[in-house]
Amino acid sequence: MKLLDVHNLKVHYGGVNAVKGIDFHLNAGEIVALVGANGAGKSSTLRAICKLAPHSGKLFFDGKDLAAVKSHDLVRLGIALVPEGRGIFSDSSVEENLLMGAYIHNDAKIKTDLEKIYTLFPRLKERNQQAAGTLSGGEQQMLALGRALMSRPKLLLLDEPSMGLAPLIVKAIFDVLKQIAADGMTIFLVEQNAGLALELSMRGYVMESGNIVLTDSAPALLQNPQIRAAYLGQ
Amino acid sequence: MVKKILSAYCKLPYCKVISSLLLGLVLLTLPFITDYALGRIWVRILDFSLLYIMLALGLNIVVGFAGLLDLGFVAFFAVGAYSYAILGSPHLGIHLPTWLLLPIGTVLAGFFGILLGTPTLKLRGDYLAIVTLGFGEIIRIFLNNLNAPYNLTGGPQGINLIDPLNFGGISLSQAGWFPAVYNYYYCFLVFVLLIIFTTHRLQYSRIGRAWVAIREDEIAAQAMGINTRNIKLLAFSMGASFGGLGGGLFAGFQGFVSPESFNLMESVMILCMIVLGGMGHIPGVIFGAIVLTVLPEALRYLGPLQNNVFGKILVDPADLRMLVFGMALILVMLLRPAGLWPSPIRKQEFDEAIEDSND
Repeated sequence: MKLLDVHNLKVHYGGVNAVKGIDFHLNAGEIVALVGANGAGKSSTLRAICKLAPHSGKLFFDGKDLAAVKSHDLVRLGIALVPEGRGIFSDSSVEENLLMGAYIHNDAKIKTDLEKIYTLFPRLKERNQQAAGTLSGGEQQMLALGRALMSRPKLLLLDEPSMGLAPLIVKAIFDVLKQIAADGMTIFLVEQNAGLALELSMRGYVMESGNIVLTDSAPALLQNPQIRAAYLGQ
Repeated sequence: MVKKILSAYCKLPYCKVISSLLLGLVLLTLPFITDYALGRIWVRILDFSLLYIMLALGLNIVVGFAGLLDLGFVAFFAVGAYSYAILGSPHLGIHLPTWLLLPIGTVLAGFFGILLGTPTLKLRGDYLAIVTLGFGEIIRIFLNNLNAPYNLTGGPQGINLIDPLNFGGISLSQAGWFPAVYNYYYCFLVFVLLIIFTTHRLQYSRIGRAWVAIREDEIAAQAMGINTRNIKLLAFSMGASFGGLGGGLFAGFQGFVSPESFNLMESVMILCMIVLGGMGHIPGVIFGAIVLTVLPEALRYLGPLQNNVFGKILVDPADLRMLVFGMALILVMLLRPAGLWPSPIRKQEFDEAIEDSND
């Protein structure tokens, strides 16, 4: 079953065409990576899905047309975004950040959700009363991820989760993503670090200057000599 | 030593109850003490401090909580004051009762808040500041010029002989047991406590958290499901309505309003109260409002002080007053960049930033 279905998506900022009419989809329970170089249009694609960039084309989520849906209503449908650069609320405490993630909910389950996040990221529990802005980059990424999970999403959109982080921390975060995926979450991963992203994913799309140029299963992409040369430096 | 005593005190049972009782006692007897120690004029300054606390707490919602820099806040104060003045004075011959006048001013100011908020939704930072500054000036200039063709606001002469605050047939200006300034003190105190209670509850509500989220990161806030447009408008109108209430009380207290009272300097002062006190932190904002109301008045004594020390007045105290005041502001911002009394979490961050820059 297709959870997210995108047809002929175009993104244009004034005269610049960042995304030039792409089609792709995500099946429920899949981890799909969108990889490509700087400026290929990956983040623009993600921003368009979240209604944060001017775009045209058709977007369907869970069979529902997203044309009339406002950005802030997406999370109610079950789409959670972990924004690029993490976008945590730095003056609020770690726990307040997580509770903001549950903004659309108002029930007793929030408490158990919070405990779940703390089990996934024990570091966040240690620092739950600390200002989020005082966390390290890796901890902030964990917080952004935890906050997104607090909304109980069906689809998790991640924009460059490895950006600016030490390899060990990136590995820790990707391990958690693996755990979340094993529980049946659908994940759409936008990454520059193609090797890492494809190792985690089941399928992948490769973007180049606004177009999807290649799509295949992730292991096949990892073996593809073109990809190896262009993105994996081998 | 002081810290030790304080922490020992805080361990006592009922320490909170005792503190609240003490605070209540001080607040109740403050006008008597002030009058006895410093004179009647200082009770009046006390009244103004309370008014400014209301305004500062109103602006704090917009600037401190939602992070929307507003340099035209005094416009809402003016709307509240003028609506009270126009509907409760011989100027047009309308004399509505206070219990109607105050809500009208509050709601009208809230409406003006939305009026300002709607076109500025997409603006942030400097750009928003410029538009709000313009808005504040527009209101003031309107008030200054709306004496023709129909004399609505009295123009530059303002409106005189405004009805004093009157609750249940008891006018606060017709001294009962106490002098009028005492009556106004207690009346304002009740409103201030009401506003403190409201802002405090708001801060820890879903709305309060949504405001903070918008301040910190608007895109992330949207991703959390916050309708940023409505929540921003709510901040504008909520803050404005506090300003409007303060304006109504001001008009009833002064008995006279004119456009002069609502210039840009007032907006800047209210903003200073928040920044100096500790943005977004209610006790800090209250403290800042008191300091910035009392300090300029206290500095008037620079003249007599020079007379005592040097035997003559060396520098005109009127000039010196603003100089010392400005220097005091700069010193505070240098020594306590997060404000005089910042919220604990904000202080944490500022300390961290200072440590980082020292590396």
